[in-house]
Amino acid sequence: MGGMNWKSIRLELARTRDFPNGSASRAYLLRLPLDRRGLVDRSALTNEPAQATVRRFFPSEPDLIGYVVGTPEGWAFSYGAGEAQAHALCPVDPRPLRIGEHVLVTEPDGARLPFRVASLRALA
Amino acid sequence: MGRLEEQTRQEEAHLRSILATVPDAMVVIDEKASILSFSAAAEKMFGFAEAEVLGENVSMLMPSPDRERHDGYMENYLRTGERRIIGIGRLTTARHRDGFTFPIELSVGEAWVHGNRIFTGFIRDLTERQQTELRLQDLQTELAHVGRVSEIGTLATSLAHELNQPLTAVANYCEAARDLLAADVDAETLATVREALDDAAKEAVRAGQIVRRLRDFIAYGETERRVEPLPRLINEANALALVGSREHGIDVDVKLDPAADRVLVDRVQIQQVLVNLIRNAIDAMLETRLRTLSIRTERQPGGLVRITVSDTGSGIADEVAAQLFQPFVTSKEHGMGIGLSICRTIVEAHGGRIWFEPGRRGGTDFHFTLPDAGAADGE
Repeated sequence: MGGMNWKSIRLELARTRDFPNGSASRAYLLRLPLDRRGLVDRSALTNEPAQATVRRFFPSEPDLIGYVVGTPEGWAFSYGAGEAQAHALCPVDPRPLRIGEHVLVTEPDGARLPFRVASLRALA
Repeated sequence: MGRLEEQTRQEEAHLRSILATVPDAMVVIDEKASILSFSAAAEKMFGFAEAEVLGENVSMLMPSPDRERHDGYMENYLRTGERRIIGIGRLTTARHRDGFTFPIELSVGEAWVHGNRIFTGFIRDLTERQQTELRLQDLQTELAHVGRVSEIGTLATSLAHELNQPLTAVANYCEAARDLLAADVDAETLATVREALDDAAKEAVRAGQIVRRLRDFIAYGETERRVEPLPRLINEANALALVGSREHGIDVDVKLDPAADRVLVDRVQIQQVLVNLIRNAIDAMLETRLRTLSIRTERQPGGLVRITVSDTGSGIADEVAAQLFQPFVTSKEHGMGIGLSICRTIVEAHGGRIWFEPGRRGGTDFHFTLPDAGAADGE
């Protein structure tokens, strides 16, 4: 197994025009290997691609389930060919994931929205 | 401050003091499903603070497919007044902030406050051990056949005993016949050998009857086939199977084909199959880091609906796989090894088929088919 650096990470929508206080109900849950700086550990990701998952929970919308994949630019969410998505590959800002940090996520509809790292815990 | 305002303020304070002490989680929403209040017990149960969820759509607390369908459920109720949950109560599932799905008992009340309609949800977490055991007993009474399964433990012991007799007899008769044939064979010896083999055959038939009795007991009891809504049947079975799984943090992903809405089945038996498959899936993932349980439905050509239960466990070893649906075959330390053979008996009695294959990304997919009863009217 990939060792101790796999994390469960919850991203919640940060402040936007529509949600001036952000929104805890608009969230992504990730399972990812992170290195010490909080960046995605590419070699761990390559070794166990099936373990790196993303789930998107928005109220009144179906859950989306996919995988986190490495891209030349950094990493992205891939919701697979089964889902009829215009943007099956959703790039994420390759910034360190630490509590309180913000990242820009490309939504399945193509919009780019800021998300905040709301929680981060180690996976056994 | 005006009198009315003061009165309202006092009523609110009163309500809050009640909310703070109610042991069940309480969530109040308006007609648009926006959360108006979120009790302390709800905060603990779901992992959200009240301030974070006020004004949000209550569907945020549900897993798919309820999440995307809830607005439609409410619209339907407001339009038709047809009660599907209000005042009835239901076994269903909820989603924690950390992503796992847990079983709940939900009852919803309706009230008018200052001219506005509000709905209050009372939520009992069925994963809490003490309540779980109580509730499980109720459910087992309710699901008579599930109760039967627990009787099977006792039954199997006595059956093993009973089976031993004819099997020992078969072995004895065969050995005697072999010994008789070893010496010079005269007509009298041959007659004795024939007799011994006849007796062996009779005993073997008796053993077969005992096994058949077990199958009859399990599956062909008082079956009652009706047209049942498949989503509800799955939702309940899922909640039931998830009881006690909170500590394992199982992620549940349910995707239902809207075209596979109704099936012609004995509800209790099919829920028994589902509970069995889901429990197996959970057990298969206890040693793995990723624990995603998926349930899928798909309408098939030829009047069938296919249901798939998948796990992300380590898969099934080849030597077990070859005889997986045989009774008394198990890879579990404490398993009886009859769960899947019962499942097969039930599914085949419904005219369906059950099989499994390795999952695309590890784990195992179990599929079974059921007779399609067509789409519901007006939905």
